[in-house]
Amino acid sequence: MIRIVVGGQMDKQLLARIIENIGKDKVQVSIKSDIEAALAVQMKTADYYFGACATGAGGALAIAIGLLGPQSCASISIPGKIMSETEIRKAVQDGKVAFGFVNNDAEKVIPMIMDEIFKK
Amino acid sequence: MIFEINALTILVMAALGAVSAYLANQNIAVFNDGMRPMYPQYLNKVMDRKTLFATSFALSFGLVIGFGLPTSIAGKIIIVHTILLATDIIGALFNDDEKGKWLSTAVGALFGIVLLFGMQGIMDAFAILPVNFLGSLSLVGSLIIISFSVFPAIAIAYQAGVTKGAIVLVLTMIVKQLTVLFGKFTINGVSVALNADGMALLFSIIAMVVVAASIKRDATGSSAAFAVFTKNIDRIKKNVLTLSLAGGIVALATTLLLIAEGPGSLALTAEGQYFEAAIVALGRTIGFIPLVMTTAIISGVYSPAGTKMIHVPAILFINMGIMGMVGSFVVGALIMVAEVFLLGFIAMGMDKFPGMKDLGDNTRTAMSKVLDLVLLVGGMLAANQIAPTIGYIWVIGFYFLNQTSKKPLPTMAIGPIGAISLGLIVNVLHLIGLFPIA
Repeated sequence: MIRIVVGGQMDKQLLARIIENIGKDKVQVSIKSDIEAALAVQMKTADYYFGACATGAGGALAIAIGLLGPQSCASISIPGKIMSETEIRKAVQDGKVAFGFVNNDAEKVIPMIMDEIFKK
Repeated sequence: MIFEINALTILVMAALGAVSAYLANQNIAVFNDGMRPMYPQYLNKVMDRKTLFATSFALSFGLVIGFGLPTSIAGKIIIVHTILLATDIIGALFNDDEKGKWLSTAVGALFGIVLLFGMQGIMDAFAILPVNFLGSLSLVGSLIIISFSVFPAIAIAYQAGVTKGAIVLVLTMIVKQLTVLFGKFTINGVSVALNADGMALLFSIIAMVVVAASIKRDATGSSAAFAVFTKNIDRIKKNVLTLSLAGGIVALATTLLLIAEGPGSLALTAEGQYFEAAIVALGRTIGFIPLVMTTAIISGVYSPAGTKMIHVPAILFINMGIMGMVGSFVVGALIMVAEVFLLGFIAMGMDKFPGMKDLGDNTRTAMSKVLDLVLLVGGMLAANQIAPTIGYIWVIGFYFLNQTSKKPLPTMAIGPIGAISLGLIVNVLHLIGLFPIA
């Protein structure tokens, strides 16, 4: 069972739904505030953090970067630029545990991140 | 543009560019919420200045070009992102030593002046084109004015379920309809007309706050997490004077119609509906308080516009002459001081009322969803007025192509960019004889 927290600040319900649809019974998803979510990963009560906002870096990931450090976080998309599939898969393999992106990109990037997480 | 270019506005734009570039250069405040957590890495020497600049450029440049400029051109007031995201970049470009400090301040001031004349220059250039489409651009923001009171109902639906959201939606419509029908009356011979959109907005925002406050949830334990960040709060407090100066200048620029805090209040301000614009700005502040304050506490870096609260009184001071300008500056500066000193207190408070933090997140989601849609439809209406034959095709096609793109622009910018680009396209078509003017 992979424990995933949805933090970030926008479209949390949408993110949780997409993750559950992909992960089915292999994942346990909970929606939290960004602070609670980042703390959960820090305390190891959750494995991965997903967050979205309008810029992919502010509300989405800022608290996670502050609490977990930038070496654990990946900004998957920002306005005007989405990471390539190769880069996304590499970020997961490199041990990033917190992922931030633009809310409108959620349906594009979450499947790739999840797919790579299941490979680990 | 709506603003006038005179000695005062040139001076205020220069001061705005200067102070915000200075704040970014001295690592005191940046406008992009995503940039703030990068600064501790730089200050702890994990990240060098070049990487800091590259990150700032990557996060903000696309927003300035893709969102700030087109929204400002379509709305005829500069959206604040256009200048403050640019000064984030300018500040990070120079080293934070003595030389870099004054260089970045000077470049920031120059940028403010160039932006002021540049925006007017673009308007003047558009005005001499054979097919004039400037008048149609106001349609881009037209739906915001009559439909923005819908967003609190959506925020409530995110937070407390569809049923409660639907109830507030219906009540909001009833409030607006009743105000239209019965909102005109005479007191002592003076006729008073209540503004229906303003009343609907006021009602729905109050409903949103009441619903959020009524939600019980366990405390998060984040005050313990924040306790380690007290030195960051002290770092911000140390710079309270410069920050208050920035707050005053941002407020004054808002009062002078130079800048607006978001697409919603921008459209309302441009139409002269200042009361409604102030309510919308207040709603956005509710959404941004948690984001700005939490990122500030984890980074020790604040925002040159604070939680955006300074814009609320600044909008109300519009058209009040010299006293309004002085009042705006003073109140803006005081609000900034209050925010800085309340930082720690509010962070702890969010722990006690987790519903209020959720409210902030849901408000921002709801507002941006509504703006995405109404600016898109507004862009379609504008495009249709510019060219009834191809207007809808262009904007709808542009929207879906952008969605499939690997480098998508913010959805909010599609309406403004679609309308402006179509205006330029029909001028090209006109030149080659494919778009005759009736």
